[in-house]
Amino acid sequence: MENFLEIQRYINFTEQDVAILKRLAPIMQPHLPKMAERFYSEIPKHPEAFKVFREPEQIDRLRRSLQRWGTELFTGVYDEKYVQQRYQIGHIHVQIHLPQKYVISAMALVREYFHQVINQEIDDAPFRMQANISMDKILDIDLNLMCEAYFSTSMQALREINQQLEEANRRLHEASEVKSEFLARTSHELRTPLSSILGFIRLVVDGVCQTREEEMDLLNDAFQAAEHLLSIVNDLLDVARIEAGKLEMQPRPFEVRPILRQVFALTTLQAEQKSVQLKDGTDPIKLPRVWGDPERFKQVLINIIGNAVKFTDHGQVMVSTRLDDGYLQFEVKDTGIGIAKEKQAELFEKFKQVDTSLTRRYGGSGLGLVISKHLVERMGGKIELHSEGLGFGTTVTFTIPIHPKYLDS
Amino acid sequence: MTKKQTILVVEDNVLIVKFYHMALGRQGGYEVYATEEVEEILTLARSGAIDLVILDISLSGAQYRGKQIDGVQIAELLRKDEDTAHIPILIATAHAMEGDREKIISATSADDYLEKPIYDSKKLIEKIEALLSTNKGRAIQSG
Ligand code: HEM
Repeated sequence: MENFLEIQRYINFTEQDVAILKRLAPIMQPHLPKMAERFYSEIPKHPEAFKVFREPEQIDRLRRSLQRWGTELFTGVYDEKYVQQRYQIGHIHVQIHLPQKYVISAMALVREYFHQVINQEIDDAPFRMQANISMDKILDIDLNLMCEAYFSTSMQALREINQQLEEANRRLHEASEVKSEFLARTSHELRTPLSSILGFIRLVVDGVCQTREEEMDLLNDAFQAAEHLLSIVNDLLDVARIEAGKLEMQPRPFEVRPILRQVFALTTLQAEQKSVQLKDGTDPIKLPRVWGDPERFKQVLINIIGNAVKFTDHGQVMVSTRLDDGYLQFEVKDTGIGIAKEKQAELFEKFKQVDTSLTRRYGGSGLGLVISKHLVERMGGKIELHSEGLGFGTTVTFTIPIHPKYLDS
Repeated sequence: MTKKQTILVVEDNVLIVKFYHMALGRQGGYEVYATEEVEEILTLARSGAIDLVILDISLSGAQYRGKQIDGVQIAELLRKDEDTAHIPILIATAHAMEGDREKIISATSADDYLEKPIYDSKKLIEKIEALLSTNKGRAIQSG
């Protein structure tokens, strides 16, 4: 142990000290039981002692251990094994969470007792002085080695804490990057419709139009862009509320049919404009009453059906329902552009968005699925998305709990 | 009067394209042509028919050799070709975060940069006039 040599050098522990300690051995040996006795009558008075001394037999055992420790001070062999063992004793005290200062003050107690013995047993004055000096040195070495155990444990703990901090820091950094990207994207998405709104109104105000029809046309475009902007802002507000845990729900029993009818009326218009067929495959007679917030449920339906229509250029969007073990399950299946498998998980992740060129081409905030997932789960249901990949269409299913009274009957 | 100058608009938002037609075509008196087709952009530019390009950065329909590309890459293609390198490029983008302008200008070596919302048609026309006249100067010097 490199450190041991350093301690020896620092304490100036020499061959002469080794010789003197060896000479001391027979003198000290008879006093060791008494030393241990004294030690363990004093030590348990320490304020922390009650925490570490549990059984009465422990003291007996420790008395013997301490005597052995005392004997080893005078063997004259201070090698690797000695060092390891002293370090190990220190470690045992670290493990029982004994504060280092108690070890230090206990060592002072031992030291004082040993000096007493030396002064009382040795008449030869020069030898007595030498004995006191060498005794001090070996006790210093022991104390150093015990403290070394404390030090290395603190270092180890520090290293671990550092690692944890680094890890936490990395995660924070990542999260903040995702958020700045989100902010940049949001700024981009807001500026685009704003450009049209301001641009068209300005053109009309500047009198660029030649006919009243042309004016109406530009204002209508500005209005459309403004509605688009509003839907983005609403989605952003919803996400902010979700993040803050402040999105309110007013769950109650309600009928699905009227809401379905409203949503179909809204989205059919959208579908007809691009010659996509929107098909109602829901059971025309008996849809059970369900349990949830009807406004939020409507929002989910608009989002999911609206997305399906938006991302389908030809073919159809089919909406169907079925009963599923206490839940009503909705399925919205389209023949649209689909989505690559590896990107499907990201769709539901806050602040991540698969491909912004899609939202640019198809409109919307790109947050619809994130919000829908939250709403469906808050109402106790589940939402899933399946697609065999780009070009293969998309199927979204989600569930809402059936009102218990309906289940009983 | 000399021939109308032609502005090529590369932009994926149909409403914004419509704005450019009204603001630059009707109000500014330019010929305005809009497309996202990269091959078409390059052919037109090479033919000498284009006096200035208004280029959006985030594009949804710009395909080049089977890959989706953006405005930065289109600018690179134009600058690389000596027949089109001189055409002034005006970036018009909704990217407006700290550092975007510097990053995009240095990546495209564009002549100027506008952040959306772009709605003041008079200022837009002034900017275009300035770019067209310095470019004419450049063309005379080199020719
Ligand atoms: C100079 C100071 C001290 C020395 C040289 C010393 C020495 C020892 C030794 C040799 C052992 C036995 C290790 C083994 O099992 O191999 C031990 C264990 C123990 N020491 Fe100390 N000790 C000192 C200070 C203290 C103090 C101040 C306390 C309490 C206030 C204390 C509490 C204990 C306890 C509770 C154990 C038993 C740990 C266990 O095995 O559960 N020691 N000590």
